[in-house]
Amino acid sequence: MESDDLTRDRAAADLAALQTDRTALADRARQPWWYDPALGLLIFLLIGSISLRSLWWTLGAGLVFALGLLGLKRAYERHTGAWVSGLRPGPTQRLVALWGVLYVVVLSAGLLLEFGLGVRGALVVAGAVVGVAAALISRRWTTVYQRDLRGGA
Amino acid sequence: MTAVEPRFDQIVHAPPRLQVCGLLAAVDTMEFAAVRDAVGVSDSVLSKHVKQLEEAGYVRVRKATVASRQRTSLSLSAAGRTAFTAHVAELRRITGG
Repeated sequence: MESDDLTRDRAAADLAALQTDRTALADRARQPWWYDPALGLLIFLLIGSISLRSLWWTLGAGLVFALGLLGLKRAYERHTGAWVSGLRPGPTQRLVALWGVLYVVVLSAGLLLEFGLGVRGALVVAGAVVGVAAALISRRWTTVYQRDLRGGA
Repeated sequence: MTAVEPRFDQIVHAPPRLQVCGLLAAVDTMEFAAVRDAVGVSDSVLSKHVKQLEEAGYVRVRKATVASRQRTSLSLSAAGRTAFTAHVAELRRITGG
């Protein structure tokens, strides 16, 4: 079969079927309720641990962070049957960029206060801000992704 | 989706394969079972079509053992993504959409 044999009706039906599948995928593409708070908590623990000024605590938090992210990925895959990168092209990238900027600004401020000006616990606050932002943005990311899927093939 | 040159693709065109490519284009990886349920075909029918897509270099198949259970996940290759995007562009060209 060549493109010339493809009727307009058949092409329209194919496009409609693709959109039906994307809409069904959008309905399923929502993480468990605890996914976003857990992500925020992992980020908080990682950044906040630096405030303890102990290499071992920070390494331990880094290990928990890495294992936690792996666990979250597995949980998402089990829940939705799929995995989609947070960095995927499309409208969701703006949210990732927003979080990236916030991360750099807040972490830089936290490091400056903690180690430059000697404010103990500044990185705990910075970790909380970045962690809460990550949880909120992650939730929003899913909403935007679902809207993108429903928007068209 | 960015503008691409519309191109009919015989491999992508068959309805089960078009559906498989459409699903995989929206994600990074998808479990074989989830694709099967979404497409609404049996394991053997999906395997046959996935094999054809794999031989064309459009789909990658990855098997992993998780908690002593083997899980098979599928993903669209760069070539598969390009072919699917071009095929959808061709469908749009035909419908005037």
